[in-house]
Amino acid sequence: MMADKEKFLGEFEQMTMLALIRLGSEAYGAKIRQLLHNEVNRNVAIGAIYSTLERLEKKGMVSSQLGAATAERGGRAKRFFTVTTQGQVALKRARSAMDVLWQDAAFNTRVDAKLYCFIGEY
Amino acid sequence: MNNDTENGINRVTLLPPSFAIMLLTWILPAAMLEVILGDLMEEFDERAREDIKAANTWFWHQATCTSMIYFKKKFSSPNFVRKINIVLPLVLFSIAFILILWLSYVDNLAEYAPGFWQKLLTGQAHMALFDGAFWSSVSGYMSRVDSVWFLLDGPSLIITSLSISLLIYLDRKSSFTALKMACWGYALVILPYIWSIIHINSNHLFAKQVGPIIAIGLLTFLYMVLPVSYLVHRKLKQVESNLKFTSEQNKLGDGSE
Repeated sequence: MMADKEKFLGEFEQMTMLALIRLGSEAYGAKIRQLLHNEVNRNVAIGAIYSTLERLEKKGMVSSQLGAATAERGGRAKRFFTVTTQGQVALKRARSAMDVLWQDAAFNTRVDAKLYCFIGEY
Repeated sequence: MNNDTENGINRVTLLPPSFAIMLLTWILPAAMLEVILGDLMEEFDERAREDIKAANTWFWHQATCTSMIYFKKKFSSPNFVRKINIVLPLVLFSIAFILILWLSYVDNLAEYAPGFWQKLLTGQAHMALFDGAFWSSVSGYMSRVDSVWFLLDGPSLIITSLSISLLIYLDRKSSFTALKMACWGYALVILPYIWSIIHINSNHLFAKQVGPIIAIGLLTFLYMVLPVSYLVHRKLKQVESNLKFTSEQNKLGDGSE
């Protein structure tokens, strides 16, 4: 059985961690939410992002630290997140697993065509 | 809307809906509230400069979705379930105790509470809780208690010992999760009472014969509810310590890298 640490990441967990990597030192809730919305069209609640980040932090995949308070946030501080080494390893493992599964993945074109016709009617 | 003077320039601060903020304040854990509110305020500020109505709608949407997520989290956390598993059985134990005491000491029940008496003859002792006569007289009967013999019943003690032994045996055999332990445990707690109602209704018994059967159902409930709560509590503690151990291991693992 796979140990807890080696468990694969969920789709949203992967997306969130990749967003952290892309944002670098500017990775905090609002920016992560905007990036996911703009880049992959996932309009999620801020709570979903923090809930995922909390879970990933418990697993040791990400770490966080509080920044300084700013005026446009009503004097509230930002919490900056970074992907840990363990998180990077898990991300790479998840990607290679998906790559293996995607190799030679052939779609049934007849089913695709029928589905297209069905959707087309509506 | 507030006016801030910053470097001599008047800057209008648009404020999000106060009820949405109140909702978040009520539901979010203290550690997350400031950070999440800050993020929402920042994005709201940007949106409000373009369209205040759309920004308000967006803020409400974010606040309700976020509250739902944390509401679910709050009520399914091991800590909360552990508290419920302590409080609820204690309340049920107290109610069962008072009900047994009342049924044991009340005089001439058929005349005192005729409506409830008819229900009692069909085994539905719990219906006393919906009868005004029970609540108005129970405190008076509490002072009459002079011994605990009314709480002792041989068959109920035997059923309790067998049920608890079965629970421990099944747990050892197939190592129960906390949920499975709670389902099995509380099912065994309520089963004798349900059996008593079915038994009374399916065998048209005399009033004298009904009493001991109801006693088995109620006393087994009373004896079992707290031990089962303890067994579930132990399982929940295990779950919590496992979660703590995993997170500590993760932190250690990350620190050594």
